[in-house]
Amino acid sequence: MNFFCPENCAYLDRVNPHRDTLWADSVFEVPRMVDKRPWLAHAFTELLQVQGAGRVAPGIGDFRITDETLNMAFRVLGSVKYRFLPNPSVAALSGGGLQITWASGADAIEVSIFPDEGVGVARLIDDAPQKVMDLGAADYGQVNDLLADFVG
Amino acid sequence: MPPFVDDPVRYPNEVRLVRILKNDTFWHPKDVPTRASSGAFLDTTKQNSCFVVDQLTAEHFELIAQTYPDSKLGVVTAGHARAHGYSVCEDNPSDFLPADHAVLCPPQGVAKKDYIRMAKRLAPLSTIYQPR
Repeated sequence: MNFFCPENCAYLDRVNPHRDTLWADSVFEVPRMVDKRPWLAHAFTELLQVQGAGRVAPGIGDFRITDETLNMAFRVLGSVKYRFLPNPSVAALSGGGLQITWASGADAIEVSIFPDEGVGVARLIDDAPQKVMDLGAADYGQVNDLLADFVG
Repeated sequence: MPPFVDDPVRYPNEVRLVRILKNDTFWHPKDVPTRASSGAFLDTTKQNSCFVVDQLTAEHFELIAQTYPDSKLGVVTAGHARAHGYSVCEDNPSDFLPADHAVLCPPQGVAKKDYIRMAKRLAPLSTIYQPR
């Protein structure tokens, strides 16, 4: 539901339903505040859920995710320019890291977030690495280079 | 925390090490798993906790199954880990299981891309088991 429609205008007496600025089929319009990358909201939600579920797992490792690590993941995702991608899967790595994976058949792009260290990104075919890169804080945009191959 | 130094005497190459795989993120393929995924050997503190298989008893496996009902076990040999660049090191005893507790550590200062490659190469050599 969005509220850019005549019924919700604060000055109903001034509304002209034929003006271009009004959306006659407002119920079916995409809300203007939503990012144009449909997968991004899903990824952010998943990241928050993974952080919320993070615990120390005795005998395995520490799966708690710090806010700094989460922010690093947000910044990497925010640097992705592609609008249409599959929803990525998000998982905690032991040690407090995160792994974000876009998969399509045998192809995958896997982003690994290392707390306090940075980001590694790999292009995979059948889980075998084809190309692996380290990304510094200024290089997150390079994830687009690998995604370009993935998108085709 | 002990100094993490490869210990081929305590952990000769033929020793089998088990890593508890918490959920389907850590095995591959997810639906019909045959091995651990690389994420299983990519602890971001660079200390991948393992236990020596031969020291685990039925009670230990039962405890793992009860604590982590959705888990599986990934097993590699110390030799496989070394062959791909990990050190197999003694760690402090685990509060969770009273078996010999080891850690697989990549070299200090390893680049992230190299650590990822190491984990990707070790994972296909693992075998997977149910902890029950």
